[in-house]
Amino acid sequence: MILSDREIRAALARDALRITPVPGTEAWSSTAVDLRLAKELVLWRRPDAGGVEAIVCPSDPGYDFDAARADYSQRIEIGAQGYVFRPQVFLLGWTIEKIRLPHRSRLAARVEGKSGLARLGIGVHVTAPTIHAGFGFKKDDPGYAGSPLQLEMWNVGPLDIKLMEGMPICQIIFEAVDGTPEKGYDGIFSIQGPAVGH
Amino acid sequence: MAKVRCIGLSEGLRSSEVVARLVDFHGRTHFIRVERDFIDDNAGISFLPVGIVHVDPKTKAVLVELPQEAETGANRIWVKPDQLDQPAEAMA
Repeated sequence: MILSDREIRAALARDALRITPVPGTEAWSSTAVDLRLAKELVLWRRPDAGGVEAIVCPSDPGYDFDAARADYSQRIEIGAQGYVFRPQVFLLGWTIEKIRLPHRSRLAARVEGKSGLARLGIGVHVTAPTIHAGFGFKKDDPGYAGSPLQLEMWNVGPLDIKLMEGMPICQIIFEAVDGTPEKGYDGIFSIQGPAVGH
Repeated sequence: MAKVRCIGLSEGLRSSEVVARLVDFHGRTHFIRVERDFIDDNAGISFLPVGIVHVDPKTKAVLVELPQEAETGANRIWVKPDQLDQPAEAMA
């Protein structure tokens, strides 16, 4: 069940979720809250392997993310004049707002694009919109604000689109989780242990 | 809250992040990018807060849920009990 604006405010008031800083009035709609784009972006670079095939395989047991990051990523900061998002470019961005969803609040969320940007060809996630219960939650640190959302941004339209720091870039939709996740029910369900001996 | 010992930290994709490296029960290394202040430091050892899902009675392996999906695609991994900073208890 999707939470209405009033239910989101009620959840904020009882600390069942945190959005830091709390978005201003103009960011709210009936069932979603707009979040803003942070200054830092990351581009994945095309490998320059001198004709040698360079393939990234995350499911390989020897996959080394640190090496991939060092070889293929490039940090960019949005300047005062903005950053021009060219067609067919893919980049990572983050929200200014941090989100905290305690495990026990029975809340999850989804990040979705904004329709005005979508009509220009801008997407903000690549098929992974879910923010699971527990995101940005540190039980031993009651003051912890949470974590920003990472956005996987792409421009499939024909236009150059200027991105500005602080622009509304996505919306977050909160949903009630039906029941308590397995974390609260150890031993009741049969969970097969790790494979051993091979 | 349980925490899993990291075998190392490295630079994240952006300045406020780190990449925490964890080893699962089978010895595979997982990489998870989190905000730097999400990692706890205890006497120079880095720990990642996780949720306990289950303890396997046969192997004593502990199934933990990561705070977000790792770069290897894992949301939950089995770890050895000595990788945790406290005895494993399922969260109520």
